[in-house]
Amino acid sequence: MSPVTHKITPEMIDPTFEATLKKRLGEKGKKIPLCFQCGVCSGSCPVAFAMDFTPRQIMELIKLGVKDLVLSSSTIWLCAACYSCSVRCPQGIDLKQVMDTLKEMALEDPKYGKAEKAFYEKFIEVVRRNGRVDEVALYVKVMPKSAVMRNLGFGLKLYQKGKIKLSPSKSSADQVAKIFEKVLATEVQKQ
Amino acid sequence: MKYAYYPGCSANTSGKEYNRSFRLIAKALDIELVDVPDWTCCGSHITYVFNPALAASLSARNLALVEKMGEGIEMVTICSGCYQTFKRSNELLKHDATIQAKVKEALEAVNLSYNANVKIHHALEVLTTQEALDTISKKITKPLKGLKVAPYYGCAVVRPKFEDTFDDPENPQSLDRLLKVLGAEPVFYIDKVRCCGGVLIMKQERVGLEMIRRLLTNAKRAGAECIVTPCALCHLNLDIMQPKVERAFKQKFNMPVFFFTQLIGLALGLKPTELGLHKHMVPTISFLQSKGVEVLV
Repeated sequence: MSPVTHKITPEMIDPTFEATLKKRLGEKGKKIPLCFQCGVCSGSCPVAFAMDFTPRQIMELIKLGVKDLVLSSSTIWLCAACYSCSVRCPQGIDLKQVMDTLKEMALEDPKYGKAEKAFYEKFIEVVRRNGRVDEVALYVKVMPKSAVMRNLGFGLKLYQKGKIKLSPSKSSADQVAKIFEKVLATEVQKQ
Repeated sequence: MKYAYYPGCSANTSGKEYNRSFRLIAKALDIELVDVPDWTCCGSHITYVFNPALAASLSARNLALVEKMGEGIEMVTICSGCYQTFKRSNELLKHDATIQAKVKEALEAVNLSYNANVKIHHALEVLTTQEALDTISKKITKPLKGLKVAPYYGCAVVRPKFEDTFDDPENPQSLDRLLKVLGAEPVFYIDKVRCCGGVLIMKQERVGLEMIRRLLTNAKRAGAECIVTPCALCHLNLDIMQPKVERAFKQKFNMPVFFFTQLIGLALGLKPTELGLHKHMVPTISFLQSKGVEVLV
């Protein structure tokens, strides 16, 4: 891993960042100030090798209020949601939930997570439309066209093995669509 | 024993043989599975990031249907992701008033209601109680003599720790115990609960491949001849993606990956094709024969 040499500039800082995050996390947010930088989270994280900031560094950046570096980090998107950090944190911080909430905040802000937003939107779209998820339908939707073409041979092999089907499975999609409508409508009212 | 059965989306695609083998062994062990009618997506941890109330509502729709199946009926699923999502939703629906209110409203739109009382089990939990292990042990006709297996649990079946999680998040033993009952030898596998990367393989292929490579490497180092898992997504990564890993790192693994239900099925004398063993990317049947495991063809 190359050493991180970021210079923190005033525009990167949001003094209310930690407070906002804590509030969104509710009860779990109260634990955030307890982080003493032991690094058990980073040592446990199976994806730390690929991240620009380790989970421990993200915790410190949160406390420093460097919102911009946190929400534009690769860390929050590489988090595989495996909960290793959460079950091991000696201070009882649910770091996986912290990552989830950071993802939520990044998705809400047009400045961040542009490339990632598509994945979540496409996943949700598959659920809304079919009531169920089909990995292949999702894979094809998420992948850039060039990658889909590169993987055609692989796809054919999967098809032969009966691992993928051409028509996605559907179930009670009308009911699922109604649930979507209801939940998302109340959210809009609230805002 | 009777359960409401929630197969989960992967049961129709990458986890087809998981679903099939679970149904077959449940029958052989006198466990009655009644499918949840018109089940839909559990919500999944991906929807949870996008909108927690929506995810909880999607879970609750299915759980409401389970409640309608009969007083006190409990649910079982083969999907570790669904298992985790349902437990998470249940917990929120018990303790979070805001989510409760939103879910109630969403379910009213489809004429359902849910009281957050359905107990959720993983197939691994149901099949590794002492009672289940005793029944399996009595019915074994083809023990997996001496087969060295890496017990790979993955994440969602043991983490996070809910009030009623059935195994340890750091060093779970249920799969290890089962393997011993089947006559196989569980190796000491350091990565038994280390994440396979899950859907990262779709979003960040190279990172995903590297995570899978580590799991395969350590299984080999531990002396395992094959891997067993209770998770369809782990199976997708370890088996389906294995040729990709081998190409990317110019390293040969040849590591067959089984669903634990398939190993139970083999020991109970079911045919490999019934259990869907021919559906895997890494050959399994020739492997078993080469290890001297007696399989019906």
